[in-house]
Amino acid sequence: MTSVRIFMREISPGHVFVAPAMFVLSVFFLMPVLGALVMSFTDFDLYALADLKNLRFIWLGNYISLLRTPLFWKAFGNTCYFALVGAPLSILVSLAMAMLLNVPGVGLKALYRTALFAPYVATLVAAAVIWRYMLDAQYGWLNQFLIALGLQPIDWLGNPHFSMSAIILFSVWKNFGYNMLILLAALQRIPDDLYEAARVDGAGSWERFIHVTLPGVAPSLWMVALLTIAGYFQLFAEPYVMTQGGPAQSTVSLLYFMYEDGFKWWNLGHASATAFILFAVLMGLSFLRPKSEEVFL
Amino acid sequence: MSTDRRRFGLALAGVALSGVAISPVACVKKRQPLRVWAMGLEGEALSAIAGDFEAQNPAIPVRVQALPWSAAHEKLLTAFAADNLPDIIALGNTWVPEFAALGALEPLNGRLSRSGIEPARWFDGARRSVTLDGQVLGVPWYVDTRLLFYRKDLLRKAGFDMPAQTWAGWDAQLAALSGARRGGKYGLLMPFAEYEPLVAFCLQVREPILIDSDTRGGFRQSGIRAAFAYAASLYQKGYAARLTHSEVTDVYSSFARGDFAFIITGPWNLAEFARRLQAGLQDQWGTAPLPGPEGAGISSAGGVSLCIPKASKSKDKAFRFIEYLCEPKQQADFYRTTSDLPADQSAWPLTGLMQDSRSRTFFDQLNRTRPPPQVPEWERIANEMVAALERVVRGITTLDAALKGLDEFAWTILAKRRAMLELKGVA
Repeated sequence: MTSVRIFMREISPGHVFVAPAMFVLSVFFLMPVLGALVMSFTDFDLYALADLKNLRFIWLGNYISLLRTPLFWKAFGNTCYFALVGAPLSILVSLAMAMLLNVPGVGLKALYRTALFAPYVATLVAAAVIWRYMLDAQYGWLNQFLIALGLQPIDWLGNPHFSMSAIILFSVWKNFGYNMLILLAALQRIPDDLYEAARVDGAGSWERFIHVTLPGVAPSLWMVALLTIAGYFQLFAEPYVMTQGGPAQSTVSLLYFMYEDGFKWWNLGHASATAFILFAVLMGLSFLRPKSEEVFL
Repeated sequence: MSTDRRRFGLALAGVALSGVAISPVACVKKRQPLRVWAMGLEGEALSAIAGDFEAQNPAIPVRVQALPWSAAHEKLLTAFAADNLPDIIALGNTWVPEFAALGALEPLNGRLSRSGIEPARWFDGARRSVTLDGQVLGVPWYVDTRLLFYRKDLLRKAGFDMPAQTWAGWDAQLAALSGARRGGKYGLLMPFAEYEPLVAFCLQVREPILIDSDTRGGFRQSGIRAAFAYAASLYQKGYAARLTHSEVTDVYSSFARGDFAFIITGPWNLAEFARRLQAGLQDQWGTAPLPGPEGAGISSAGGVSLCIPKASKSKDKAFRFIEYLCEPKQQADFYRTTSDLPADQSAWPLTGLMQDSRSRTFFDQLNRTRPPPQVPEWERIANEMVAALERVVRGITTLDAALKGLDEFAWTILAKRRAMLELKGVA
């Protein structure tokens, strides 16, 4: 009885309010994650599905075999390439568009904003299918455009050197709108008198960008960068719809590799290990913060 | 791509059908209809046949569910894991070893010996595909294999009367049909997304693809190496474009334009070519056996077989329905609605198939097929084979390095199989 009483005295209304959310979180997130962690130490596969007696605990065996799998490294490299090239490019485009939208005196702003945001709201799969047609080597208009300019047409989705670029191009187009809105809000918060003061001090437009605009949007920029890179590491639907990982496995991402491993070939132990490696990478990324806290102010 | 569109339509149909089919389960408990899962277009055609069967056998109601091919494999495995497999599955022959390894399929030897079905009339490749360790795990329903479809006029213009039957002869024809002489066009369409042509070339040589009771790869054997080298040379000599597949927008119109003269494909295209090519071209295309190293070669045995899961509670009724579906007369009717080639050879004369030289070629090729290695891991190895071929052709690696890599890949993939066979004391 006393222990119950002590317990009752210890819990605050806050605990009670948070309990339902914690319950849902533990049932739908923590428990599956723990299950997957245990599974990543086993060789759960088709044979284990037939008879649990065929299940063996192999501890780090999956991780070791993954590190020895060439396709895993290829997928890892592809994913890093996609995230480290695609995410900065996407942020640059977002920032540029946000600054264009922020120029005073431009009419029809709401229209432009909606138009530029539209790709983000479009269904990913539908947009990817359309892009697949646009990137078609023979009939796609992107190549017709290149030919009209007098350039060599590029086999975007069929050449291993260009396939990832094509997917990056698509993802940047698809995703920049969301970051653009966040950065636009940040830009609008920068007081105009800062720009005026800079202008009075004789700062040119580049200097105003470096010393007023960038520090002004820096907190938002950090958040946007983290979220974008984390999101770009989870590349899956674009190669799944546009290239199925080809050509020559040049667009196999970590998640695509995991999906094929787990749900096509039913090597759930192996696939869980891949998931945890990706998880570790993303956790590591989320610890990346600017050294001084001032940037966030 | 037109087939994609077709699959998409089927997927929608599958979703719609499954919605319709699932709802009555909860309320109708007492009659326990026979549950049948079949994939793609065949699944839809089967519903009509099931209606006829029900009319003759009012005691056995049948409910057919059509699954889209693209989602079928996952759905079947999930259903197995959830103990929810139906009474009959129309299983792709390459999946039979997988479900056999799961112990999911009922051996049918006893039932077959008591029935009117004659396994001797099945095509040999189909019979071997469904037989594992002497147990017959399915009844071949329809069969397919890959062979050459070609443009007669282009071949004639290049100075040949007949498609070649040997690798060397075909090389000469492809050389005449590719490159500068035809304005930079290619003789052959063979995208990397399909592993069947490469596997067929490997099945043509004397050595098996997997060795030691299928517990490791035999990719460095001279015959297999030769098959790989031959497949790679088709691209390297400029006979086939280095395409993955998404770039081939419309196979039929590009065949009609003469973008290529040969394509290695299966029986479903008999009907598609007849339907999609314009009237002027209808006399100008034909089929020919797949060329082999020393003469008309072997191809891979494919098709779909009807299997009864062990978990089914009405196996006898299920077998009655299978017997009905596999009567030669039913097989002939089924061919007329779906243009799938009957697995029972005695059904062929009941159709016009033997009179038509194009389908006649399939009959001959079907008698020259061999099933690919019968291990659950096969599809994965086959995918890696064609990925390795692509890397060789694109100059990312050398042939010998790729074959060594394939042996290592197979060694890793088959590790569990080796361990389990060792436990049983087989290997």
